[in-house]
Amino acid sequence: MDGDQRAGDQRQFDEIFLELLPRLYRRAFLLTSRSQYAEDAVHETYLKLASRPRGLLSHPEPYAYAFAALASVLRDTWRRDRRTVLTNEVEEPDGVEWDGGVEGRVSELEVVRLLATLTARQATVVILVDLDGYTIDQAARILGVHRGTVARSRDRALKRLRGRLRPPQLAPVRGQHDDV
Amino acid sequence: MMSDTQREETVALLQARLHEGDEQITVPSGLADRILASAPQPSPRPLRRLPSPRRRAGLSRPALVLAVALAVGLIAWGSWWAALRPAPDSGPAKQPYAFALTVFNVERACRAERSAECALRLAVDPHRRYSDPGNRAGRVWHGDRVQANCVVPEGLLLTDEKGMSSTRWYHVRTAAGVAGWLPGVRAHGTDGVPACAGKS
Repeated sequence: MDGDQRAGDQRQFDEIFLELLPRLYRRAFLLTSRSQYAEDAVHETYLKLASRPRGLLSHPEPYAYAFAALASVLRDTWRRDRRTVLTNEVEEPDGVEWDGGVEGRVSELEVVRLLATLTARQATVVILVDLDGYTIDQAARILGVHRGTVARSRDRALKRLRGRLRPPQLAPVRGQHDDV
Repeated sequence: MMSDTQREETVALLQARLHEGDEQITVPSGLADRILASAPQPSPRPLRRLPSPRRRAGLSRPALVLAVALAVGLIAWGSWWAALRPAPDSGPAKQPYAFALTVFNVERACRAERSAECALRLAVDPHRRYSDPGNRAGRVWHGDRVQANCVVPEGLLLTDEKGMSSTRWYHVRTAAGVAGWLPGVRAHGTDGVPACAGKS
Protein backbone atom coordinates (compact mmCIF):
# COMPACT_ATOMS: atom_id res chain seq x y z
CA MET A 1 0.00 0.00 0.00
CA ASP A 2 1.57 3.35 -0.91
CA GLY A 3 1.57 6.63 0.97
CA ASP A 4 -1.28 8.14 -1.06
CA GLN A 5 -3.52 5.21 -0.34
CA ARG A 6 -2.71 5.39 3.37
CA ALA A 7 -3.55 9.09 3.40
CA GLY A 8 -6.77 8.35 1.50
CA ASP A 9 -7.71 5.63 3.98
CA GLN A 10 -7.01 7.95 6.87
CA ARG A 11 -9.24 10.66 5.37
CA GLN A 12 -12.04 8.23 4.74
CA PHE A 13 -11.62 6.78 8.22
CA ASP A 14 -11.84 10.25 9.77
CA GLU A 15 -15.01 11.01 7.82
CA ILE A 16 -16.72 7.84 8.97
CA PHE A 17 -15.56 8.27 12.55
CA LEU A 18 -16.85 11.84 12.65
CA GLU A 19 -20.25 10.65 11.51
CA LEU A 20 -20.25 8.09 14.32
CA LEU A 21 -18.82 10.45 16.91
CA PRO A 22 -22.06 11.93 18.34
CA ARG A 23 -23.61 8.52 18.78
CA LEU A 24 -20.46 7.01 20.24
CA TYR A 25 -20.06 9.92 22.64
CA ARG A 26 -23.64 9.56 23.85
CA ARG A 27 -23.11 5.84 24.44
CA ALA A 28 -19.86 6.53 26.26
CA PHE A 29 -21.62 9.13 28.41
CA LEU A 30 -24.38 6.71 29.31
CA LEU A 31 -21.81 4.12 30.31
CA THR A 32 -19.46 6.41 32.24
CA SER A 33 -21.86 9.13 33.46
CA ARG A 34 -19.09 11.72 33.19
CA SER A 35 -18.48 13.96 30.25
CA GLN A 36 -14.73 13.93 30.73
CA TYR A 37 -14.57 10.14 30.94
CA ALA A 38 -16.78 9.86 27.89
CA GLU A 39 -14.55 12.21 25.92
CA ASP A 40 -11.47 10.27 26.92
CA ALA A 41 -13.07 6.96 26.03
CA VAL A 42 -14.17 8.17 22.59
CA HIS A 43 -10.75 9.67 21.97
CA GLU A 44 -9.02 6.45 22.96
CA THR A 45 -11.39 4.50 20.72
CA TYR A 46 -10.44 6.76 17.84
CA LEU A 47 -6.74 6.21 18.40
CA LYS A 48 -7.26 2.48 18.73
CA LEU A 49 -9.22 2.23 15.49
CA ALA A 50 -7.06 4.74 13.60
CA SER A 51 -4.02 2.53 14.05
CA ARG A 52 -5.71 0.08 11.64
CA PRO A 53 -8.16 2.19 9.62
CA ARG A 54 -9.05 -0.58 7.21
CA GLY A 55 -10.69 -2.52 10.03
CA LEU A 56 -13.41 0.11 10.25
CA LEU A 57 -13.48 0.89 6.53
CA SER A 58 -14.01 -2.71 5.50
CA HIS A 59 -16.53 -3.56 8.22
CA PRO A 60 -20.10 -3.96 6.98
CA GLU A 61 -21.40 -2.11 10.02
CA PRO A 62 -18.95 0.57 11.16
CA TYR A 63 -21.03 1.60 14.19
CA ALA A 64 -21.06 -1.92 15.59
CA TYR A 65 -17.32 -2.20 15.03
CA ALA A 66 -16.64 1.15 16.71
CA PHE A 67 -18.99 0.36 19.60
CA ALA A 68 -17.16 -2.90 20.23
CA ALA A 69 -13.89 -0.95 20.37
CA LEU A 70 -15.46 1.58 22.73
CA ALA A 71 -16.72 -1.20 25.00
CA SER A 72 -13.25 -2.70 25.03
CA VAL A 73 -11.67 0.67 25.90
CA LEU A 74 -14.14 1.16 28.75
CA ARG A 75 -13.56 -2.36 30.04
CA ASP A 76 -9.81 -1.69 30.15
CA THR A 77 -10.42 1.61 31.92
CA TRP A 78 -12.65 0.01 34.53
CA ARG A 79 -10.09 -2.71 35.16
CA ARG A 80 -7.37 -0.09 35.50
CA ASP A 81 -9.51 2.05 37.80
CA ARG A 82 -10.16 -0.89 40.09
CA ARG A 83 -6.45 -0.88 40.85
CA THR A 84 -6.31 2.82 41.66
CA VAL A 85 -6.71 4.27 45.12
CA LEU A 86 -9.72 6.46 45.72
CA THR A 87 -9.20 9.91 47.14
CA ASN A 88 -11.53 12.66 48.28
CA GLU A 89 -10.97 14.48 44.99
CA VAL A 90 -14.05 14.89 42.89
CA GLU A 91 -14.00 15.58 39.19
CA GLU A 92 -15.06 19.03 38.17
CA PRO A 93 -18.18 18.60 36.10
CA ASP A 94 -17.91 19.67 32.51
CA GLY A 95 -19.80 22.65 31.29
CA VAL A 96 -18.66 24.68 34.27
CA GLU A 97 -18.42 28.24 33.03
CA TRP A 98 -15.04 28.97 34.50
CA ASP A 99 -15.21 28.05 38.13
CA GLY A 100 -17.79 27.85 40.81
CA GLY A 101 -20.48 26.87 38.31
CA VAL A 102 -22.89 24.05 38.79
CA GLU A 103 -23.55 21.36 36.24
CA GLY A 104 -26.91 20.08 37.30
CA ARG A 105 -28.09 18.56 34.08
CA VAL A 106 -25.79 15.58 34.27
CA SER A 107 -27.13 14.42 37.58
CA GLU A 108 -30.66 14.92 36.36
CA LEU A 109 -30.33 12.29 33.70
CA GLU A 110 -32.17 9.50 35.38
CA VAL A 111 -31.08 6.97 32.85
CA VAL A 112 -27.45 7.53 33.75
CA ARG A 113 -28.24 6.76 37.36
CA LEU A 114 -30.15 3.66 36.34
CA LEU A 115 -27.33 2.33 34.20
CA ALA A 116 -24.88 3.01 36.99
CA THR A 117 -26.67 0.38 39.07
CA LEU A 118 -25.76 -2.29 36.51
CA THR A 119 -22.51 -4.08 35.90
CA ALA A 120 -20.45 -2.87 32.96
CA ARG A 121 -21.49 -5.81 30.83
CA GLN A 122 -25.15 -5.49 31.71
CA ALA A 123 -25.13 -1.79 30.84
CA THR A 124 -23.35 -2.45 27.55
CA VAL A 125 -25.85 -5.14 26.60
CA VAL A 126 -28.83 -2.98 27.57
CA ILE A 127 -27.54 -0.16 25.38
CA LEU A 128 -27.02 -2.42 22.40
CA VAL A 129 -30.34 -4.21 22.71
CA ASP A 130 -32.70 -1.67 24.22
CA LEU A 131 -31.32 1.54 22.82
CA ASP A 132 -29.66 0.54 19.56
CA GLY A 133 -32.22 -2.13 18.78
CA TYR A 134 -29.91 -5.06 18.11
CA THR A 135 -31.11 -8.58 18.74
CA ILE A 136 -29.48 -10.76 21.41
CA ASP A 137 -27.61 -12.65 18.67
CA GLN A 138 -26.37 -9.47 17.01
CA ALA A 139 -25.27 -8.01 20.34
CA ALA A 140 -23.40 -11.22 21.10
CA ARG A 141 -21.58 -11.01 17.77
CA ILE A 142 -20.68 -7.35 18.32
CA LEU A 143 -19.31 -7.99 21.80
CA GLY A 144 -17.68 -11.25 20.80
CA VAL A 145 -19.38 -13.30 23.51
CA HIS A 146 -21.84 -16.18 23.57
CA ARG A 147 -25.51 -15.31 23.06
CA GLY A 148 -26.33 -16.97 26.38
CA THR A 149 -24.03 -14.52 28.14
CA VAL A 150 -25.81 -11.60 26.53
CA ALA A 151 -29.26 -13.00 27.29
CA ARG A 152 -28.34 -13.63 30.94
CA SER A 153 -26.81 -10.17 31.31
CA ARG A 154 -29.93 -8.52 29.98
CA ASP A 155 -32.23 -10.63 32.15
CA ARG A 156 -30.29 -9.68 35.25
CA ALA A 157 -30.28 -6.05 34.20
CA LEU A 158 -34.05 -6.06 33.74
CA LYS A 159 -34.55 -7.68 37.13
CA ARG A 160 -32.35 -5.12 38.79
CA LEU A 161 -34.02 -2.18 37.05
CA ARG A 162 -37.56 -3.35 37.68
CA GLY A 163 -38.91 -1.27 40.54
CA ARG A 164 -36.41 1.48 39.91
CA LEU A 165 -38.16 2.36 36.67
CA ARG A 166 -41.15 4.56 37.16
CA PRO A 167 -43.51 5.79 34.47
CA PRO A 168 -42.68 9.33 33.39
CA GLN A 169 -44.48 11.94 35.47
CA LEU A 170 -46.50 14.38 33.47
CA ALA A 171 -45.41 17.97 33.85
CA PRO A 172 -48.12 20.28 35.23
CA VAL A 173 -49.90 22.13 32.51
CA ARG A 174 -49.64 25.89 32.74
CA GLY A 175 -52.91 27.64 33.59
CA GLN A 176 -54.53 24.66 35.29
CA HIS A 177 -53.23 25.25 38.80
CA ASP A 178 -55.66 26.35 41.45
CA ASP A 179 -53.66 29.41 42.24
CA VAL A 180 -53.57 30.80 38.72
CA MET B 1 -39.30 -14.28 38.92
CA MET B 2 -40.78 -11.76 36.52
CA SER B 3 -43.96 -12.51 34.66
CA ASP B 4 -44.06 -11.80 30.95
CA THR B 5 -46.21 -8.75 31.54
CA GLN B 6 -43.85 -7.36 34.16
CA ARG B 7 -40.95 -8.00 31.86
CA GLU B 8 -42.62 -6.24 28.96
CA GLU B 9 -43.45 -3.28 31.16
CA THR B 10 -39.87 -3.07 32.40
CA VAL B 11 -38.52 -3.25 28.86
CA ALA B 12 -40.92 -0.57 27.63
CA LEU B 13 -40.06 1.79 30.50
CA LEU B 14 -36.35 1.13 30.13
CA GLN B 15 -36.40 1.80 26.42
CA ALA B 16 -38.36 5.01 26.92
CA ARG B 17 -35.87 6.19 29.55
CA LEU B 18 -32.90 5.27 27.38
CA HIS B 19 -34.18 7.16 24.37
CA GLU B 20 -35.19 10.13 26.48
CA GLY B 21 -31.77 10.28 28.14
CA ASP B 22 -29.94 9.70 24.87
CA GLU B 23 -31.63 12.71 23.32
CA GLN B 24 -30.58 14.96 26.19
CA ILE B 25 -26.88 14.27 25.87
CA THR B 26 -25.06 16.85 23.81
CA VAL B 27 -21.62 16.37 22.37
CA PRO B 28 -19.12 18.87 23.81
CA SER B 29 -18.14 21.49 21.29
CA GLY B 30 -14.70 21.04 19.83
CA LEU B 31 -14.50 17.34 20.65
CA ALA B 32 -14.18 16.35 17.00
CA ASP B 33 -11.39 18.88 16.48
CA ARG B 34 -9.53 17.70 19.54
CA ILE B 35 -9.76 14.12 18.41
CA LEU B 36 -8.74 14.81 14.83
CA ALA B 37 -5.80 16.88 16.03
CA SER B 38 -4.37 13.66 17.45
CA ALA B 39 -4.79 11.75 14.19
CA PRO B 40 -1.81 9.60 13.32
CA GLN B 41 0.10 11.17 10.43
CA PRO B 42 0.57 8.78 7.56
CA SER B 43 4.24 8.45 6.73
CA PRO B 44 5.08 10.04 3.38
CA ARG B 45 6.85 6.91 2.21
CA PRO B 46 5.85 3.43 3.24
CA LEU B 47 8.43 1.16 4.77
CA ARG B 48 10.10 -0.94 2.12
CA ARG B 49 11.71 -4.26 2.40
CA LEU B 50 15.50 -4.10 2.57
CA PRO B 51 17.19 -5.03 -0.70
CA SER B 52 18.70 -8.44 -0.86
CA PRO B 53 22.46 -8.71 -0.16
CA ARG B 54 23.01 -9.31 -3.85
CA ARG B 55 21.28 -6.05 -4.75
CA ARG B 56 23.10 -4.17 -2.03
CA ALA B 57 26.41 -5.48 -3.38
CA GLY B 58 25.46 -3.99 -6.70
CA LEU B 59 25.18 -0.44 -5.29
CA SER B 60 27.26 1.82 -7.47
CA ARG B 61 30.42 3.32 -6.02
CA PRO B 62 29.45 7.02 -6.55
CA ALA B 63 26.11 6.44 -4.79
CA LEU B 64 27.89 4.83 -1.87
CA VAL B 65 30.32 7.77 -1.59
CA LEU B 66 27.43 10.23 -1.71
CA ALA B 67 25.53 8.36 1.01
CA VAL B 68 28.57 8.29 3.32
CA ALA B 69 29.21 12.02 2.72
CA LEU B 70 25.59 12.82 3.53
CA ALA B 71 25.70 10.78 6.73
CA VAL B 72 28.92 12.48 7.87
CA GLY B 73 27.45 15.90 7.07
CA LEU B 74 24.26 15.16 9.03
CA ILE B 75 26.22 13.99 12.08
CA ALA B 76 28.43 17.10 11.98
CA TRP B 77 25.42 19.41 11.63
CA GLY B 78 23.63 17.63 14.48
CA SER B 79 26.62 18.04 16.81
CA TRP B 80 26.88 21.72 15.95
CA TRP B 81 23.17 22.22 16.57
CA ALA B 82 23.30 20.46 19.92
CA ALA B 83 26.28 22.52 21.05
CA LEU B 84 25.30 25.95 19.79
CA ARG B 85 21.51 26.14 19.89
CA PRO B 86 20.06 28.63 22.37
CA ALA B 87 19.31 27.51 25.92
CA PRO B 88 15.78 26.23 26.47
CA ASP B 89 13.04 28.56 27.69
CA SER B 90 13.97 30.24 30.92
CA GLY B 91 10.26 30.97 31.60
CA PRO B 92 8.20 30.62 34.78
CA ALA B 93 9.06 27.01 35.45
CA LYS B 94 12.70 27.94 35.98
CA GLN B 95 12.07 30.58 38.64
CA PRO B 96 11.98 29.44 42.28
CA TYR B 97 8.61 29.03 43.98
CA ALA B 98 9.50 31.35 46.86
CA PHE B 99 6.27 33.27 47.52
CA ALA B 100 3.37 31.85 49.50
CA LEU B 101 -0.06 32.97 48.30
CA THR B 102 -3.47 32.21 49.67
CA VAL B 103 -6.29 31.27 47.35
CA PHE B 104 -9.24 33.59 47.79
CA ASN B 105 -12.82 32.91 46.76
CA VAL B 106 -15.01 35.96 46.88
CA GLU B 107 -18.12 33.79 47.27
CA ARG B 108 -18.64 33.34 51.00
CA ALA B 109 -20.83 30.29 50.55
CA CYS B 110 -17.91 28.49 48.95
CA ARG B 111 -15.25 29.29 51.48
CA ALA B 112 -15.85 26.34 53.74
CA GLU B 113 -16.63 23.80 51.07
CA ARG B 114 -14.20 21.74 49.05
CA SER B 115 -16.74 20.59 46.53
CA ALA B 116 -16.46 20.58 42.75
CA GLU B 117 -18.85 23.51 42.56
CA CYS B 118 -16.61 25.59 44.81
CA ALA B 119 -13.32 24.68 43.14
CA LEU B 120 -11.31 27.39 41.44
CA ARG B 121 -9.44 26.54 38.33
CA LEU B 122 -5.72 26.82 37.74
CA ALA B 123 -5.26 27.67 34.08
CA VAL B 124 -2.75 26.23 31.65
CA ASP B 125 -2.35 29.54 29.83
CA PRO B 126 -3.04 33.01 31.32
CA HIS B 127 -3.73 34.42 27.87
CA ARG B 128 -6.37 31.90 26.84
CA ARG B 129 -10.07 32.04 27.66
CA TYR B 130 -10.33 30.84 31.26
CA SER B 131 -13.34 28.65 30.56
CA ASP B 132 -11.77 26.74 27.66
CA PRO B 133 -12.13 23.03 28.39
CA GLY B 134 -8.46 22.47 27.62
CA ASN B 135 -7.31 25.35 29.82
CA ARG B 136 -7.44 23.44 33.07
CA ALA B 137 -4.22 22.57 34.88
CA GLY B 138 -5.70 21.83 38.28
CA ARG B 139 -8.03 22.99 41.03
CA VAL B 140 -7.68 24.85 44.27
CA TRP B 141 -10.09 25.99 46.93
CA HIS B 142 -10.48 29.04 49.13
CA GLY B 143 -7.80 29.13 51.81
CA ASP B 144 -5.35 26.83 50.03
CA ARG B 145 -1.74 27.90 50.40
CA VAL B 146 0.15 27.74 47.12
CA GLN B 147 3.70 28.69 46.19
CA ALA B 148 4.13 31.32 43.47
CA ASN B 149 7.25 31.99 41.49
CA CYS B 150 6.24 34.82 39.20
CA VAL B 151 3.41 36.93 37.84
CA VAL B 152 2.23 37.86 34.36
CA PRO B 153 0.88 41.41 34.70
CA GLU B 154 -0.95 41.50 31.39
CA GLY B 155 -2.82 38.24 31.08
CA LEU B 156 -6.48 37.88 30.25
CA LEU B 157 -8.72 40.37 32.08
CA LEU B 158 -10.84 38.51 34.60
CA THR B 159 -13.66 39.89 36.74
CA ASP B 160 -14.84 38.15 39.89
CA GLU B 161 -18.39 37.83 41.19
CA LYS B 162 -18.13 41.17 43.04
CA GLY B 163 -16.87 43.09 40.02
CA MET B 164 -13.18 43.18 40.96
CA SER B 165 -11.01 42.91 37.83
CA SER B 166 -7.41 42.03 37.24
CA THR B 167 -5.14 41.06 34.38
CA ARG B 168 -2.51 39.66 36.73
CA TRP B 169 -1.95 35.93 36.77
CA TYR B 170 0.32 34.13 39.20
CA HIS B 171 2.23 31.03 38.27
CA VAL B 172 1.76 28.79 41.28
CA ARG B 173 2.37 25.28 42.46
CA THR B 174 0.00 23.50 44.82
CA ALA B 175 1.02 21.34 47.76
CA ALA B 176 0.32 18.35 45.52
CA GLY B 177 2.86 19.64 43.01
CA VAL B 178 0.38 20.78 40.35
CA ALA B 179 1.55 23.94 38.57
CA GLY B 180 -0.76 26.38 36.83
CA TRP B 181 -1.87 29.98 36.59
CA LEU B 182 -4.01 31.48 39.34
CA PRO B 183 -5.96 34.64 38.43
CA GLY B 184 -5.10 37.72 40.45
CA VAL B 185 -8.72 38.08 41.55
CA ARG B 186 -8.38 34.70 43.25
CA ALA B 187 -5.11 35.39 45.07
CA HIS B 188 -4.26 37.11 48.34
CA GLY B 189 -0.86 37.99 49.78
CA THR B 190 0.78 38.63 46.44
CA ASP B 191 3.36 41.22 47.51
CA GLY B 192 6.83 40.89 46.08
CA VAL B 193 6.12 38.29 43.40
CA PRO B 194 8.43 39.11 40.47
CA ALA B 195 7.37 39.28 36.83
CA CYS B 196 7.81 36.11 34.83
CA ALA B 197 10.85 36.04 32.60
CA GLY B 198 9.99 36.19 28.94
CA LYS B 199 6.28 36.81 29.48
CA SER B 200 4.36 40.03 29.12
